Amino acid sequence: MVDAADDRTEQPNPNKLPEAEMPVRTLLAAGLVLSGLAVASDSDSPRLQPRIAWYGTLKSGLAEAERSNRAILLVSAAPHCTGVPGIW
Amino acid sequence: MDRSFLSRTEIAVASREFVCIRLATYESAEEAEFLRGIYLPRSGDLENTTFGILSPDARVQLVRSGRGPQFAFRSAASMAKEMKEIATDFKGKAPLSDTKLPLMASVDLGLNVASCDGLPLVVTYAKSDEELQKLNASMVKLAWDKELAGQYIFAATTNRKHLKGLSGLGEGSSVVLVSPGEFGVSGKVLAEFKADAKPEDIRKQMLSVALKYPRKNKSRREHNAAGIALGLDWETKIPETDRMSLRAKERQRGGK
Repeated sequence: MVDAADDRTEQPNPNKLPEAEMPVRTLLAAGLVLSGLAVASDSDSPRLQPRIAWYGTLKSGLAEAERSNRAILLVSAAPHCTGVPGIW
Repeated sequence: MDRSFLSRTEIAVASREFVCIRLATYESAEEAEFLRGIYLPRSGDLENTTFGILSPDARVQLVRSGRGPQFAFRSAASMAKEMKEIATDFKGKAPLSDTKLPLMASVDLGLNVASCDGLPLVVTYAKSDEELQKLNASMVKLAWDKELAGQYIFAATTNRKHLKGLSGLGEGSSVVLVSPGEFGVSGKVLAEFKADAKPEDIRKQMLSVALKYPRKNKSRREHNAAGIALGLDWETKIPETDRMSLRAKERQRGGK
């Protein structure tokens, strides 16, 4: 799927990475994109920020929606940026 | 830094009344065809991102579809409000009563998406489809646990070779908690369990890992530069058609 990368080089210190400035269009896309950031917070479980729990395939999600008669929140995003994986 | 509607707590809470589907664009021809029916720009090309809220049978678009929530809502608060109203229109079953694991299509994709999200990954492994189905069924309650829902990405496989990118993997493990690498092409095993492990033990470990899991903000510029320098080039299952993205890729990779 992708070229192999050395695991050591794959884990840079995030504290050394400067903030990036995203193009406006990218920011718009990020609205859904960064969704992964589902998140935490039930009133009785304050320790974790509530996150959206996503089905990762269309087939499984549609089947669950039909079974449970719940509306569908749909998002799609490419899990790479200019071909580099690990970022929406 | 949080730039997203979808990372907001009120949206996450409202999402419990919905079935949430997040597809990886360009990773399935069938899914791409579905997405084209939800939103296509004037160019007629499927873009990197798509957003919609649909009826349970996916035949009716309940809000304006587009590239993102901003096409339909002015703010996360208005989106959450609308979602609550939509939820009342559908007498769905109880939130988090799902009967299947929210699996990614493959372990490779699971690793990548987990890295994108900055979340740990759960990989289930068994030697046969029958064993894997049984194992996955035993994990459903954990995936939709009130505290754990959304805190992990899930993937499953019957092919041991699909686990080759996981460092520290022991023999005989069936449930593996993984920290994905910076680029999501490898991962580090954080905890592993045999198939007969007690669900409460797995839950305890999953909760512990989720609570301690470091939250990272990736710099897009630095991440892309480092990834290109490493020679990484994610190969999509179908050709990418987002023109702006393709131009940016050509620019950043020097026309390659």
